[in-house]
Amino acid sequence: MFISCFRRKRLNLSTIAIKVEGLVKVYGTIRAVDDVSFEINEGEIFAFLGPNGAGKTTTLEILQSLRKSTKGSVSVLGYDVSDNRDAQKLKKEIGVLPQDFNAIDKLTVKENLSVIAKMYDKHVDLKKLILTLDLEDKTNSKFEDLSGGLKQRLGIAGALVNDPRIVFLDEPTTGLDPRARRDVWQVIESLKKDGKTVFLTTHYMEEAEILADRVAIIHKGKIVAIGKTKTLLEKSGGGRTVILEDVPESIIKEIKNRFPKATIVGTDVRIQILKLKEVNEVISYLTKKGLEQSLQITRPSLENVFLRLTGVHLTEEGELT
Amino acid sequence: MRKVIAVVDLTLRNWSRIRSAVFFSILFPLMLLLIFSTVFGGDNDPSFSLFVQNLDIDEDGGSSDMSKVFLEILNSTDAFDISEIPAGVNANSFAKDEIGPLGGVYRILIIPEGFGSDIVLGAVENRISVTQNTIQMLLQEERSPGVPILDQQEKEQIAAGGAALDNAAGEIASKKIHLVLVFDPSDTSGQVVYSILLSITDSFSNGLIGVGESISFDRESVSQYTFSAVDYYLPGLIGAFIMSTTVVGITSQNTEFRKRGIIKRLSLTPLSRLEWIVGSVLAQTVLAFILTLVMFAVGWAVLGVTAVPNLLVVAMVIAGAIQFSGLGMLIAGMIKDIESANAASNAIVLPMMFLSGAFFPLDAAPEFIRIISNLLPLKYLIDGLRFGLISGFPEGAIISLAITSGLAAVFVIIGSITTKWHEN
Repeated sequence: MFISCFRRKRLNLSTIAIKVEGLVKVYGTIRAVDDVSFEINEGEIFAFLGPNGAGKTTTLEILQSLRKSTKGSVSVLGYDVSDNRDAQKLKKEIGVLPQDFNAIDKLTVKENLSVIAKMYDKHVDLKKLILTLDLEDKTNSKFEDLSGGLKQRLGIAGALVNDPRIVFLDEPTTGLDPRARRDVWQVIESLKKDGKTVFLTTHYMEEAEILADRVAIIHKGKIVAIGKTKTLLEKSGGGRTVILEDVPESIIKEIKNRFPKATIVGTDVRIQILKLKEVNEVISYLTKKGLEQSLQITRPSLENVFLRLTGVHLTEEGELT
Repeated sequence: MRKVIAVVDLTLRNWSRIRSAVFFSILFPLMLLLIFSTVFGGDNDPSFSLFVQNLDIDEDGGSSDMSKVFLEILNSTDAFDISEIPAGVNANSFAKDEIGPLGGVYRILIIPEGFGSDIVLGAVENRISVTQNTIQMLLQEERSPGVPILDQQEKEQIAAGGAALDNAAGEIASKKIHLVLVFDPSDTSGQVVYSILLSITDSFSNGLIGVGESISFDRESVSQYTFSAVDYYLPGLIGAFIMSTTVVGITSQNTEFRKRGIIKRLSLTPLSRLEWIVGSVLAQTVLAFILTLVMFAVGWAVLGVTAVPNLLVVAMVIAGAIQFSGLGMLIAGMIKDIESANAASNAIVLPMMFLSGAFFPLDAAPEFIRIISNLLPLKYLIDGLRFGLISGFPEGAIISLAITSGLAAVFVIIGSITTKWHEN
């Protein structure tokens, strides 16, 4: 459904859409972005995962030629973003949902979209775009009357109005309730199907995990890990964890002997399994002990990846603890 | 151009949906126009109520000829709405009764007994005195140094005639005429009425005693053109509100759009900074024209305005709107915070309105105020509009137009420099 209103493009993963080398941005004495290098392939969803103030938005805005870098080279779709003429051409081929997106309060959904559309030589059919983003009921509602989720959907519609090759989404779901967040995720997933390159920033682990083909974890202006999401999870995701609650004391002793690294707090037990093939072995042992009822198993997570790589927890609000 | 028009479109739509913006840009100036034109007169100059008691009457109770002429002249000036008080009554209590139980202000002019004869005698005395002076000069005149014009006999005859004139003058013993004006000290127009009466009686007595020219008070000779009070206020109000609408409009739009990330969003499209600036200024110019048109429409339809805008006035409106858009951009560029920027724009706009002669002429103001006024850009916008509309000498607007256009260029250039498009 979503594909229909955009030009179809052949998916070609070997083409590099964005190439960043040794990017540095200094504000006074602060190195907001500190020697960052990465590449993004055309057609993939790439996520910058990190806490607030890690340098995500600064990097993104340099890529959009909104800010000047201190050092390093940035090429987006073959354009040099530091060159003004290139930047002007680049703007025609990218779509952006800025952080804390706002449109003009007193203008309706349709009018706001039309304002953005008029800035381009060519744009997609606005009616279809409104339909695609499920905004048709709100076409004539003023921006100020929309809910947070609808506002973000309008923001994404605005980013797609010129049928861009790259879509930048800066924290697309921050502040949304879980349902609205899932709606936005659906839209982003459909962009991939349409062959668009998506660069999103987020501090939600789950968001990056669900949406991104590749993730870069950014902390204090540096990329601490980058790779395919699956690979990062396998490598640094902390494996799977078996969680048992209300375990009888006699069995706790046995578990202690069998799994010396298990974490035991009172009658609660956590056993970490790093290798996938050991999972069956652990589960069959616990089943024999009659514990299958209270058994839960967790997957490796980016949360663990983040914790292992930075030594700190990243909260839902994007803060570090 | 398409992008510039898009900016104009978004600005006007946004403006039209902000009630306070519409109120302060259009309705408020209209309200002021209606109030000013009602309070400060419509088609005519103000006419002051005046009671007149004529005590200069003959035995049959009729007014003396001279007092009749004087009253006719008072009437012909149109400055007064005259009610007569009969000679035999107490003027004060009669006026009070006439005004009625609700009270109010009254002024009474009392023409004293003997007004007419005293004026005639005064005139005769004056002419005797002139004749005497002529005789004295004649007596002293010499044909050549040491050789008088008149011989001794002639001089003696003339001196005898002069003595006879002196006797006649002594017998006339004219009295100074005392007109009496009664008015309440709280009557704020009392002094004005007194001044008008003074000038009328001066002209009256000079006319009589002088070389006998006919006495007439031709109102047309005082007024050079046939415009009404509202014609005077209209250009002032239009100028003042072009300023406030554009300065406040650009300042609030730029600061709010920047704070809410809308300028950032637009800067991520192919829209350039120049296109944004041109579009914003153009939108304000359109608003300035809407304001001007509405003010004129109401002026023509309701208030009997007769002035018609010419090309110079159109050029003044454009130059003024551009000038103050530039000033608005400058304020928004210097002060990022919405509240502070709005406070700053009001702090600039309001004093400028009062010091530029928008609402009242500054002719009577202290000199330093007039000097300050000459330094204010609004002064030239208003001067230009007045010249173009009501002076009967529209070419006078050219200097104001040149100054306003020059300032417009300066403000827009500085304003553009301070308007940031991209981040650092």
